[in-house]
Amino acid sequence: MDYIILSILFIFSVFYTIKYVLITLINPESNKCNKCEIKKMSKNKIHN
Amino acid sequence: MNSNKNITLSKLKIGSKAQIKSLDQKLQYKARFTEMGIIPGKKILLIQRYSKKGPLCIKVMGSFVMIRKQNADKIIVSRMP
Amino acid sequence: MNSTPQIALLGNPNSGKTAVFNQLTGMSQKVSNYPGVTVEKHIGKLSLSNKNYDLIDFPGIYGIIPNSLDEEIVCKEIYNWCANKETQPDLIVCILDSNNISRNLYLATQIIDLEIPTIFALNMIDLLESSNKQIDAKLLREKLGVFDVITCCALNNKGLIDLTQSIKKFFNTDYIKKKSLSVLDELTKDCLVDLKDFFIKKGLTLSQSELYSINTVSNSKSLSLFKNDTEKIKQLTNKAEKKLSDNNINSKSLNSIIRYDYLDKLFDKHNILTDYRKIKVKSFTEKVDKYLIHPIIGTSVFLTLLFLVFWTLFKFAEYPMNLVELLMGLIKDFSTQIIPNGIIQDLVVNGILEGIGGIVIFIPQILILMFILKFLEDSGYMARASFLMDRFMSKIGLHGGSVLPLMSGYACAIPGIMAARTIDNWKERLITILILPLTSCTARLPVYVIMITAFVDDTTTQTLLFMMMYLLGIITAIIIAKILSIFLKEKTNPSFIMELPTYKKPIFKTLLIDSYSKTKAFVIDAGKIIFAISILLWVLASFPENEQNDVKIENSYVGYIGKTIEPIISPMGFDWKIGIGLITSFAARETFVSTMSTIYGIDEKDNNNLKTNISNDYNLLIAISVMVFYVYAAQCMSTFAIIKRETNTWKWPVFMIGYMTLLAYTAATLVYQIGLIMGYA
Repeated sequence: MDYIILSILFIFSVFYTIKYVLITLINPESNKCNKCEIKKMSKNKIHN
Repeated sequence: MNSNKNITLSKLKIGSKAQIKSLDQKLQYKARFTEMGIIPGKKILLIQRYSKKGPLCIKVMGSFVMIRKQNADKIIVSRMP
Repeated sequence: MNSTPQIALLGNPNSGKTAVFNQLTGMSQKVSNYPGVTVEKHIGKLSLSNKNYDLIDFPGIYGIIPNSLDEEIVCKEIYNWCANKETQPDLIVCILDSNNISRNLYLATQIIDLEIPTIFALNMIDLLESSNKQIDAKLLREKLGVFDVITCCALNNKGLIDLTQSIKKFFNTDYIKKKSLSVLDELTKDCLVDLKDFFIKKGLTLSQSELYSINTVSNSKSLSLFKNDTEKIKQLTNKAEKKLSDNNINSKSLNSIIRYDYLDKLFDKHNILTDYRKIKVKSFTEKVDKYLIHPIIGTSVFLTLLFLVFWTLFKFAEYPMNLVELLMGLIKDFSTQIIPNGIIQDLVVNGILEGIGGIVIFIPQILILMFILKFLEDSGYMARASFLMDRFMSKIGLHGGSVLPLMSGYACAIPGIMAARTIDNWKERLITILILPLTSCTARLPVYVIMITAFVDDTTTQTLLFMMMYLLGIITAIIIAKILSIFLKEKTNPSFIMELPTYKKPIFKTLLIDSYSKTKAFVIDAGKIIFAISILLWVLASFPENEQNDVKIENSYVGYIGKTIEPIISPMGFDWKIGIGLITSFAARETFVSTMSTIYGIDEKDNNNLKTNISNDYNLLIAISVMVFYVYAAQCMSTFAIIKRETNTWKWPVFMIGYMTLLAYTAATLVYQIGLIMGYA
């Protein structure tokens, strides 16, 4: 049973890593530039 | 009189006011300068100079602008009292 | 035609466009916002009384002819609005800095000539009022004929209600555009008639054609807007220039001269700007700049600031790190109790938790670094740094305009490389892009910290070593810049002009929210890939299963890979464990520390933390060699991809990888071998 969970996790990790590498090469900002998002300054938002 | 002599911007003393007389033909990318308000007739104030060959900081049309000495060499001004 | 109404935000750089944009759109922005300088357009949703509008923030421009790549994006779009009416926004909101009203009106009056409905927002009005001056907004609106003129201060959230009311009113009324301003006299218009006809044939209105005609003869850079018709336009421009000079009018910068003249007359004739000051008092900016751009005082302040930044980063290293370790220890114990003994428990405790722990420890430092960088940019100090550094930069073929992109690189190279779009000269921009990866980004920080704290105890020495690594990067960058500037054949532009924005007090809350969200995003993004790699690593390190516990890892797949590359990396003093760390770093640089944590975590014989393990297995010389390697190694795929996109060719990213790998290998080997010879092993 444990080995089944392990295999699933392992395969998931392999795919995720490959996907990460590919995405980075095609669209570099999607992995790195979430860092830069400025979140909502909720108290200051204009409500109208 | 001394105050009417035309000199290049680079020779201006720190803290002095001057009026821009002309921009030398050889000044590259002139449009950049004129956009910022560095055109004949406008008054400027020299705020600071980094060094003899370094950039200058001038106040023109209410804002502070930094230009290189090579560019200031090509801007002719006349000192104001 | 887009069904959602489009509102474009235009204005000078430093006029506060992005502050207005942020206040109005809040969280709804679609595109990421980069620190310091806007180089791409950002679209956000503005919601007013249940109606939705698209608000588009553009990079700042001084006129409708671009000077650099980021301005080109806007100016091309503006031209497109004229040539293809379907692309026109429904409304333009022009943000003006009230304290530089004339220069801001230079752009604004040209926007009026586009004949697209416009609202002016006189921003930073509080600064103007506190220096005892006043602008008559109603009078300005009457004289210029725009839909509305409001005053506001975006940073303090004042007046923005007036702006939104005005926007609502616009969309609820049938607005008939008044005639545009006509600043050209008949004679000038006559000389430009052929150019005007050309633009009219392209679909522009008369007013737009006049606007583009005068700009085309005044500024040769206008050709970048008309890629398809360069020859024809050059011809027509030459004809127009000849006609003008026949009439004793110099065409160079004609647009600026005419327009500023118009504005001077406007302000002389009407009481638009009133100055109540009895005595001219120096502004805060002027008073402070007396010191901050003074060659000696300013430079000393700058260097002290840099040292303080590093010292702060290090001072805060020890305590939070220990706290987090404690916390991770508790979580591990908890997991050991919850999950039954077996390989899953082993995976979670020694694989995943170890790996995640490796990145979590650095949250406090990353947070501080982001905070400081944003503070420097928002306050306006960065421009002063550009002033102080320009003389030096010119010696290596760059100018002060590279300072902001390079400093951004200390957080992450990606926004830094994009910010290089503000550099107008191709050669200087390219050099800046190519040396940017040498500024040590946040991902390298954990490597430096773990290596230094494992072998050095005294805080001052730690800080100095830490600074040395950053210094190494920047010094190498300087040398490479000099070499590139000699070998690249294009000419450098000796001109440099840059505005120094007035000092602004950054809002503390904004800084906190901003650095918190950037740090969180960094940790989550890194966390995800670290999670995956920790699992991969643990599996590869635990199989084939081995009964002999003391050589467990060495006989696993991971050990096999590590041992295979060991001969290549041993000249640098690295062993197979570090080798594995290097390999995982290629997927994401941030994973080095996590990888080492996991590898040690699997070995059951010790329960020490990573620091202790490293200090037992290696020595200071090897640590320095590892750090030197990391200063130079090109391990960020994102950087590779971004450089390809910004330079439009594979040539430069490949060159970057080439020279950086060579540097990394050579430098680390030299450091280690020389260290050995000098007896430091």
